[in-house]
Amino acid sequence: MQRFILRAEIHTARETFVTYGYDLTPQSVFVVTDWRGASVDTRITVRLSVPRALEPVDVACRIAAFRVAGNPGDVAGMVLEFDADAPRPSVLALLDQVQTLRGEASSLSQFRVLLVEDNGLTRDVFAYSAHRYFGTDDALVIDHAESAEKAWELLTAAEYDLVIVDYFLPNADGATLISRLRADTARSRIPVVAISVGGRSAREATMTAGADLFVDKPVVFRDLFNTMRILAHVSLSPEAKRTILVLDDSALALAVTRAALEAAGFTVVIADDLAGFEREFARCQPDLILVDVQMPEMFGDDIAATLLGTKRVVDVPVVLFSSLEENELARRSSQASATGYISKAAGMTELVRRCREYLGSAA
Amino acid sequence: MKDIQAQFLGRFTETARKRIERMHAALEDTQTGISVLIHELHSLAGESGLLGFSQFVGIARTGETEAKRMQNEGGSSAQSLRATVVELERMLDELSPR
Repeated sequence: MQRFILRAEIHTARETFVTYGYDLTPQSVFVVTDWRGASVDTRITVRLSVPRALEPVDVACRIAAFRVAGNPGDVAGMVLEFDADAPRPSVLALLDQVQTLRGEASSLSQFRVLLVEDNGLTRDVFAYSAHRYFGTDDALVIDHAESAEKAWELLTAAEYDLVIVDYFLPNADGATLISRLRADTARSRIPVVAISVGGRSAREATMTAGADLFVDKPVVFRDLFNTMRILAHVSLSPEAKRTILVLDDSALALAVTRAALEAAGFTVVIADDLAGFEREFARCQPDLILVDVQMPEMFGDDIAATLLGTKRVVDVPVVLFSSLEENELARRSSQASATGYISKAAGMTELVRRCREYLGSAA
Repeated sequence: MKDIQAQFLGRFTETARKRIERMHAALEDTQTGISVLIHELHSLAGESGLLGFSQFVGIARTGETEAKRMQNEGGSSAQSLRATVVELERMLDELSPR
């Protein structure tokens, strides 16, 4: 069986925590490492995803057994059985997605990985295994950095499809590097897999910093490579190529909007004032522009009218994005000849749906 | 999107508390503070709506409408606006006790 790594957010009656799982089948998934006092037959809810690649699905499960690793590469952890009734369609949908992505991503094309790892043997084994696994014809490029500082130099010099970061690094730890990456507009959406021998504390530090997945060392590279194949496909998907520029003076609204749209696979560029908007607009060539209406320097509808009226944007939807009442938003949008509007009050799911709609209509 | 809501809960409550503090300060002198009040209510409505804390949206919007009316027409009492801000504060305490 081809295994790949899933992010698994576990919700019990007492707490929520993030771990990872393997071996998704219609019957079960092994969720490794962490069981926090749970016992057999306990019912839990698991949210499964490959961040930036597969939309999360919530699955109700029963803990069927615990497994202890006997040999290198064995998976230790909880053996979960999905509920037979309600969650099954979502599990099957997830499986369908995985099968499709596996099928289409049978080889890598121009996939560039940065491995941040100070252990020379791990680096060499990773590179050797990856080239054996993907074959020498694949355009797989693996760069190495021994420290967070060196990694940052490489990250600012090349575009990466995946960053794999060891938690324990000399000087600054892996979580610090991940935080820096997530705070950097141009690089914030690069998939990040954290690895470590540090167990739960390393996992919590790196996931809190913004890692998409965490894998305990020793890493089973084959499983990581399968996950890379899924990510490789996604990096070529249409949504990943779509850039949305968002102008809003609320730092929180910007952060939430970015998180929601990036989780849906878009590239998001943000600006919190007009100067930043001008700079990013010139730099990123957006496919869609969202403009908050009530900005301190100018109304968003005036910005939209100016952009459209002076033909600074052609075939790029400019959409008002505000918490104003819908009728007021519709009126302002119409007066400014904006492409449309999205109400913040409708929430993140609606935001993603409407962005897809506007991008679809613009295609 | 629930994970994003959970991820941003702390930041939301922290931001909302600061906004409510500024609203209380603005209500001390509505002549000069009314535009601040409108801005804070508007921003709170947007942030809470995006994050799916929809219970805040209606009240913040009502407050914003009322504050705009006060700004345009003048003369209204700040008492009901104060009640709106207190209600928002109560809801915030309910969502995330201090």
